[in-house]
Amino acid sequence: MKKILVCVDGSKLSHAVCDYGIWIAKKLDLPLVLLNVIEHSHTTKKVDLSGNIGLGSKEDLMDELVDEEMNESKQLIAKGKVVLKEMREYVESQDLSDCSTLQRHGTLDETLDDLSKDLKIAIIGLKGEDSGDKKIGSHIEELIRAVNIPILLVNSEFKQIDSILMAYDGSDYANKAIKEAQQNPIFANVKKHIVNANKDTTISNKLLNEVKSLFANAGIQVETKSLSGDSVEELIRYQKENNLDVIAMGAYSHNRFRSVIFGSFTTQMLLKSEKPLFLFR
Amino acid sequence: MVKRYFKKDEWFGNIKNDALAGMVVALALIPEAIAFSIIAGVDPKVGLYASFCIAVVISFVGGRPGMISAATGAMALVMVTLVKDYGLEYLLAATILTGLFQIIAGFLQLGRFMSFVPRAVVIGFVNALAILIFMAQLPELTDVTWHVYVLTIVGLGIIYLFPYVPKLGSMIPSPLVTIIALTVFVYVMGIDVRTVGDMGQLPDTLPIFLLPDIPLNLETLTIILPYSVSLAVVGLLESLMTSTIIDDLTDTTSDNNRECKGQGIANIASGFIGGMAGCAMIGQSVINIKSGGRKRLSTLLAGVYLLLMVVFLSDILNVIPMAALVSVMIMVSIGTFDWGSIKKLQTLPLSTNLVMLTTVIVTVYTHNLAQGVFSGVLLASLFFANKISHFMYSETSYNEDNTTKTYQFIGQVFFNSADKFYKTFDFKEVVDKVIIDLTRAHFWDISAVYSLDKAVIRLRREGTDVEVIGQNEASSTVIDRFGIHDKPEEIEKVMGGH
Repeated sequence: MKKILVCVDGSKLSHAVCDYGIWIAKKLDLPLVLLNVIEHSHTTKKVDLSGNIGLGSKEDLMDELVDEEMNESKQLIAKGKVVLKEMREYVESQDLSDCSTLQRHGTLDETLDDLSKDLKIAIIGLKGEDSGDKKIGSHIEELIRAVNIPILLVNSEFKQIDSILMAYDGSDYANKAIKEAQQNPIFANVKKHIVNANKDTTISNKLLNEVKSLFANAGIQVETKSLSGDSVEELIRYQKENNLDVIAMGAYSHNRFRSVIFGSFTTQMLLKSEKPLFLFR
Repeated sequence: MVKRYFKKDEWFGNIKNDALAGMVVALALIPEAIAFSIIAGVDPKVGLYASFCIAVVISFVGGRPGMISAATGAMALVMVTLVKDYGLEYLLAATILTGLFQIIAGFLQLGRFMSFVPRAVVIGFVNALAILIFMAQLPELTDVTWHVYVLTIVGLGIIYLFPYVPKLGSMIPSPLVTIIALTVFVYVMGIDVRTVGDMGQLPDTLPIFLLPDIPLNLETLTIILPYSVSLAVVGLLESLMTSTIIDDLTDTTSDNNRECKGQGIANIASGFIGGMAGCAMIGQSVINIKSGGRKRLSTLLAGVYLLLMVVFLSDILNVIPMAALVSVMIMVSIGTFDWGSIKKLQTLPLSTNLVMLTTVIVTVYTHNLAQGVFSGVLLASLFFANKISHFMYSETSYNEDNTTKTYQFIGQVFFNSADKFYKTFDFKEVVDKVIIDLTRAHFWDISAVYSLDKAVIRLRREGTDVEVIGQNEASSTVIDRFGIHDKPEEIEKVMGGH
């Protein structure tokens, strides 16, 4: 049985992340796993610029670094345990009993990659604890690129998902997202709005009509809307106007090289959206 | 491809510390590059350009962030005779060919063969390298006035004592203090000792692209090929061993095959701007980690700082006394040496110590680290084969009327235990039938098969019926392929020597 993974790090969003996890776990009737990742910095705070090496320098350096990292890891583990315990109690207080906790070493993307085959979905807070004022969690782009399961990025307090906004551009990734929307039980009984942003309304409408009939075949009613102008801004405006609960989209459909030069639609959405994002790779 | 190749964190995860560490490394690289050029018998600028180029290129294409590669002593020692007999241009061509071999090694994924190099050989390699670096300083310390000895000792004193100065000690690299102090002292006092300027040309411009000026024919190839092979092997060995040291120190992993290709690309680039071949440096990499350097940026900056300092300060470099360089190099040699291995000599098994010492002795004798490593690996393999051959014994039993004897073999049968296997049989004993039970034996090679054949044939000649049973999967495949005991025409061949 696949699991719902909830990544907690003790940041402000941990509760919201948990709430989404609980909601999805209940809806799908799947077990919940709370994950805390011990991410090693592999850097040192002690800097010795004396630049000399003598007998036993390597051994001494090794001992020093091991001690330093050991202390760092122990602290992180202890802190993680507290967070996990608190969150677990919270989950259990919400009447979800099938909940386990997990602590692993490594980066979040490595860990998700290792675990992904047993996971239905991963739920992650968009403001990682380390990131401070930067709005995007430190490794979120790496993470989304590395992992091939659906990810729910939580960036605000929990609100039950009653409606979703889907951006559709006809690409394979977008088609995958549409397929998920049709089949994934998370989205059962959720009102779906599908939009396409394109200056050429005929193309836009044609795409949307295709999508509409796809859903109609599956017996699902959807709202569609053609938007013009800057797609990120328009999407977010549409979401606000209709007060939609989450935005679902295919993520990082272009290769990294292109993203570096043109900027990425996904990154823009990550930065600007005020509602949680469902990402499909 | 781009996404896996350019990882933001590998570059910018540690900017401040990398920038400082890069500076410390660059300062230590300059004396090393000059010293190794002198070992190789070329102008200091050849080593300095190489160090700049290799450090910068490897920071992008290498597989081990935070490791420092540049012109090295191990490589310089291999190229001595090439430079002496044929000159610099051939060295540049050999450097480019070395790079090609290393790239090929990367594509063939030869990095995995590092698993054949036992720990004892790695330690031997490191110690031999330290000894070679020290020995390379000896020409600067023979037939010189007493001034040089005093300067060298004072230099070493500053290197090891300056870090104890409060505050400043951990902020200013002590090798730099040594170089400045000795240079100023010698210059002001007007002491007549050898300086860097006496050793050959220093760079005064940025490096430029140039093709080696050599005839492109088979003769050239036969000259440079053996050197290039040696350089490629030595370079990869030292690089991969250094990368395991950095892996251990930083608790991270590296990409060996990418490192092989990266070393190749860096060497090709070095050859085309008039630099010598290089590889990863154990001492400098340790200094980098000690100074807080972790990411690719530290290596890049080390190369860039080095070039800027060398080009703009070449007048000053000219007057640095060789004694200052010698002290820095002695420090590198001491720091490279694995001190713990000497302490452990008493506790480790003799075979391990012999492997380590063999690696050291062969390397120091041949001045070629590749030969030292090969000897060490060979010896270690023989010791291993010997140990495994003890894991073979047999149990014998008879049926009720003593007409059938069963030999049950347990363990590993291969070249080293095959003789023991054969000698287990009592050929003088008269029995009607012998059963050779191999259920619990492993046949590894044709030596094992051959000794089984020999035993079976001899037993049959003596009128004994032989049955071989219970060949397990591994044994039966080897026997099926090599077995001859059931082919009569082969009998005479096997028994020919008896």
